[in-house]
Amino acid sequence: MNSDVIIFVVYLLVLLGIGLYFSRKASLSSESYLLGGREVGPAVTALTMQSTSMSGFMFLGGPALAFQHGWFAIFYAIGDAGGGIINLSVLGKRMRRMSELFGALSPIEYLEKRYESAAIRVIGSVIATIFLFAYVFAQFLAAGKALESLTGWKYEWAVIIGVGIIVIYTVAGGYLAVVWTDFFQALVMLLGVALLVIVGLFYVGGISGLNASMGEVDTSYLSIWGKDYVYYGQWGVILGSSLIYMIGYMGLPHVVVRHMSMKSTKTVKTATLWTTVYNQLFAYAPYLLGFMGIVLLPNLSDPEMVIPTLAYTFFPGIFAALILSAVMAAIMSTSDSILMQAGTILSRDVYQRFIDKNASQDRLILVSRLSILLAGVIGVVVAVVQPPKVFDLVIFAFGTMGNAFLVPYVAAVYWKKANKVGVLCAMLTGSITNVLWETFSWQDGTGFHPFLAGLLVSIIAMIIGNQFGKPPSESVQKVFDETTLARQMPKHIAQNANREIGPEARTISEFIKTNSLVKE
Amino acid sequence: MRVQSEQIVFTDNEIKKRLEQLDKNNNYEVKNVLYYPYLVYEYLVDRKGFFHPLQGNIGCTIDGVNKIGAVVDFFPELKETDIQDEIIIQSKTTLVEAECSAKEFLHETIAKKKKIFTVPELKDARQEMFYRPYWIVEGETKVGETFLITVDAVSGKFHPL
Repeated sequence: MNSDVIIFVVYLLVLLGIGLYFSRKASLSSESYLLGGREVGPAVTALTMQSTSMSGFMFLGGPALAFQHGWFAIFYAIGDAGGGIINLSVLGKRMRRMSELFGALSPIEYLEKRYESAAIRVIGSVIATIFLFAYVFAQFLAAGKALESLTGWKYEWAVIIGVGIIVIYTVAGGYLAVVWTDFFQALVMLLGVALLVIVGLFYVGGISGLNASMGEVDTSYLSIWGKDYVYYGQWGVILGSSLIYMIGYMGLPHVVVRHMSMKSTKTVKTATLWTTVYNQLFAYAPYLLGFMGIVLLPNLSDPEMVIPTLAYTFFPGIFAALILSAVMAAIMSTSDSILMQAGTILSRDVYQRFIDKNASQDRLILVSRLSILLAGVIGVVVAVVQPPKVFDLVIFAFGTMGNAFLVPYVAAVYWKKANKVGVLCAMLTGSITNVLWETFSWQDGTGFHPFLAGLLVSIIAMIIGNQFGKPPSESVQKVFDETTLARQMPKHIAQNANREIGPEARTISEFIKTNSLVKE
Repeated sequence: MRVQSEQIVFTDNEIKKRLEQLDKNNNYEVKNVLYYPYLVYEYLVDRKGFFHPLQGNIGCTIDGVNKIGAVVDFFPELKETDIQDEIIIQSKTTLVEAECSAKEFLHETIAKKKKIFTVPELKDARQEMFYRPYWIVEGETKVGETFLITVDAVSGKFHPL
């Protein structure tokens, strides 16, 4: 076993130790209920959330695109960073407010309640599952490559072993999920990336030196049109590249667990702001490293190996192995979460709703496990037989997701009469257009990014389809009015309001109106 | 009506003071108190696995009107209290009806937070319907515009109305 493999194994053991320590500590604590405590602040929460998004894409896909196309790749980073800002802005606020009023726990449940249609939930779940599996396949590819660099094993074996480990521990019991393992991971990776960028900038003479050197290699790297000006004048591609990340994140079917405190609490600001700050800091780093690869690694045959190769170039083997171990562990953790989400969606929203309404808990677990195993097998076959690029797969996944959900989300809060027929048309045509555009490479002939094409088709389908559906019920229209009516609320009060008690506030509001309870 | 309720932790004066500290430009006046229905469920879990030990109590509430679950940190401290009917919001569900939702909510929460598929058996410990006090507070801006917020009298969390 070479020393890098030993470092990787030790790293995983450290994670295991942290997980075990905090799991046992939480279990033994008699003061409060299990899972009920909230011992970390918003900054730590945000950093751990960031570690979930720091997946194979950040370390392999993003740098590879930058390495191949130069500054054109930055549009994806702008979209990535901008996604957080949109989340904080008007659209994000309206969506959060409406979601609170409906008491929805996930974005798909929110759509189901807004448009009063179980079909939307099912179709949304199927699209989300496809996205999640495509995304996890990208993680599998990344896992194979990271393990290949770490161990020197043949790629095919690295994929089989890497995916095997991920699937077995997901199905058998799951990763040790404590906030502190995620926190430790995030810290190692962020420090690793920051060090790589700092040392790299030192090597290339800062941003100006980097640009000068890139220009010497090929001036088209400095343009916004891609290497050899391949996308010259294609604003549809540029716009699509920026929008895809900005929008794709909205559809992620994450679940928010509501928490009710039995004791007084300090008002804790949401972690959203912190996440946005981290995102602004780190969204650009992988692309910068890709640019450095153009200058420092001119003979690199596999663009996805930019970060691993730079790590071994800049640092002694032990540090590089440590960073790669963190990358591999992050890929494992991200894959584990996504596989579980996809398995749960398939078992609850598809199997239980359509195949066996009275399915027991055990049966649902079995369905989840089987679907994860199947995903693992398909993932290995795809990764070994005809591996797509990590970047392409992630972009395909985000594109499908964004095209399915952007129009329904925006219409939910900006179009009172938007109904389920319009939304179903938008979801189906948007996602199908994206798949067809990608499959038949229509971008080359039209100059339209698949995401932008899907978006336009989705908007048209929404407008036409909406003419054939019934208007939303009175109660939904009422929620719409409450969501869109600007509340005259002082800034400090609005900023510190606690969204978790939104459903209670709505009920109380109706109660005091009905009972004329507020004394003059 | 005689009900199990939590006691007020933040008095009307404290609420007024806290809000005016937070928002120095406006005045606040506590108008009324309301009692909101919840159903609380406590279960015992005893999972001894090496990698995922989960031993102890776990609890959640179900909102009596919206039927939404929330994990809780402690069983609430309850006291039998006489409360006027007109300031009580009536529950739309019962302990028996909501138990299924409570168990399903906790199963999903454990699976998500602990990332485990095989959720341990939840053994009934105790359950109770109770009411939590919420203050209704009116704010007034310098130009005389008014707005309402509600403040959880136990945790101090607040939300615009």
